[in-house]
Amino acid sequence: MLRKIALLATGTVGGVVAVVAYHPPTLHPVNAVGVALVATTSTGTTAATTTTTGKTGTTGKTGSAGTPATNGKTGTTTTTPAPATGGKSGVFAGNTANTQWGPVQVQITVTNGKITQVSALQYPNGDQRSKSIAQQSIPYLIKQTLATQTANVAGVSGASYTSDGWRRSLASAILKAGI
Amino acid sequence: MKKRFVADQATLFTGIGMGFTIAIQVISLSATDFAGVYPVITTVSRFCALVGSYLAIIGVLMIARIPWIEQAVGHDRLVTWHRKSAPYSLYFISLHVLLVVIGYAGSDQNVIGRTLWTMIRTYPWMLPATVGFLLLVLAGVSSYREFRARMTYETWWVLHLYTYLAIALSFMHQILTGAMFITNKLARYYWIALYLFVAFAILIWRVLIPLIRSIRHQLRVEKIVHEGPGIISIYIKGQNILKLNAVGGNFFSWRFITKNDWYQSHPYSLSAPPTNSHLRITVKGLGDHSKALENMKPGARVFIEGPYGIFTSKNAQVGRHVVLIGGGVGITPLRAIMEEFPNNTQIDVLFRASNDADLVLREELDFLAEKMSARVHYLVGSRKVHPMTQAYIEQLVPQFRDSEIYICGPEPLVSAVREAAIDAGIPKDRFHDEAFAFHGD
Repeated sequence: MLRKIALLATGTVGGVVAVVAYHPPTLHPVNAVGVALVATTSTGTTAATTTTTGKTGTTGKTGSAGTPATNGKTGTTTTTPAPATGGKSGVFAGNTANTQWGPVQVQITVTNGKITQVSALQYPNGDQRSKSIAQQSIPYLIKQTLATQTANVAGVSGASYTSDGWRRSLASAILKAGI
Repeated sequence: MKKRFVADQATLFTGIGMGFTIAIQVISLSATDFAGVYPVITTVSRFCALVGSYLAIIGVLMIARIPWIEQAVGHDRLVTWHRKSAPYSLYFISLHVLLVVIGYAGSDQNVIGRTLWTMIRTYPWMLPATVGFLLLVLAGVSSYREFRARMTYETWWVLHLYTYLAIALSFMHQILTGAMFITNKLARYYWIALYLFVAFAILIWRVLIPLIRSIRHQLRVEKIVHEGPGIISIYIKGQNILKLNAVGGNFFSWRFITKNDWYQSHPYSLSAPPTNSHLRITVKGLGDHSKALENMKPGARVFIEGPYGIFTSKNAQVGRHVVLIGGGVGITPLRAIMEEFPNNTQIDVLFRASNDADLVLREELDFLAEKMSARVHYLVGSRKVHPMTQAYIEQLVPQFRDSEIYICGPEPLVSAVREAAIDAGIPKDRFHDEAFAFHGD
């Protein structure tokens, strides 16, 4: 009996260690610096945006009141810096990616071939739970996007559909930007 | 020691599977999972879901009649483990349901009832999963001793079958809403592979093989012989029976296709080594089912599951003295085993019975004893006259402590002899007993 328990325990620990070593979890610090979530008022639509330069150029413009399911639109007023090094620059909105809980649309600002700013134009917010998931997860998705500079973001567990939609929309935005 | 090796390997694999199962949650963790009390509750609930589901899967595998595992561990021990581990799977899954609702309701600042309703209504496959959970609770609770004792075997069996349905119904909600499965392709493949493997194991070893064997061997009741008060032998005729590779000491689950009993299946040991054309079981008619068998007409079709069990002569060390101890109708598998030891094996048979009428198959035993120069000791009377202690057994069989012990009979007798064997210093691997070999009702 003792022998069996020892074997079970060894197998369990071995299994966990093997998988985690192969694919370590992507834990992000909770109090991530530079992550801002711009939440707006009564309509329940929100827009999240952040920037690596610390220079924020967003004005959260909400959808019309009474239509909480519509998308938070963010007017980005970033002034495009001079293309000093010749890289691509501009603002690119990805395609809308539909998910189980609603559409996800990502917009990126590219400066000299680098993603400098990311925002969510649309995300699932049809119900209270989707809203709170989005509010928690989008700052991380933004941070991951700025860090990886690709559509290959790790995603946020518990916000799997949003993460998946994020990847798809972001991929199309990156494609449009041609970076 | 090959048996032990297989059993150890199976245990290790079970452990590794548990490790993988926990790991797929660990690798999908992110900071949001710990951002506050309610996200932590949700995270714990996911852990409970994974562990509970894995235990349920292992519980099903243990009784899937996978041949190597049956041979290595023994059917009775697998059933014991199944019984011991299954409640934990129910606890973990119940905890998952409770915690996920609390966690979601807390994060959304909603009342629990509404959150539950929203989840069932809007989440993919959540309604089937909820039904599955209720079925699992039903199947689990009906297996608790207090409830089990109040229902017939058939009612319990049907409720228990719901477990399969419960596991199947809950599968899709895991794949479609489980954070670890959506974010990680490998985790998803692992989980699907695990469930497919179990489904195939059940289909092959519990459904197809028994069905094919029953049809191929054309088993039918040939005759019913009365052996003593309420004790009958059923002779079953068939074709190429030796191909079943059954030996004395094995048991089958038997289903006799008669008007009233076709839906019931009961385990009985062989009471004689199989021949190519015949199988025989000997049954004491105490239960409703075994009583009904008495009136069965020859020619009835027989469906079998088996052979099962490791209560066989193969598991004895060749050359050692053998002591076969039977209590009442428990002598029948020993009668079947007796003939299968190598020719020069020294055998003592101790036959305990409360009165002479219970000495079933006596003529066969005497005949075999003479043929094999074995000794049969008929120990008739009360427990006081024949206390099955080490001292008492050694009076009858001086070689007791150096023997292979086979015991089949009512639980008090088995316990007494087990104690005697421990007192005599007989190691575990020379003490053979199997709960399923005895059907004294």
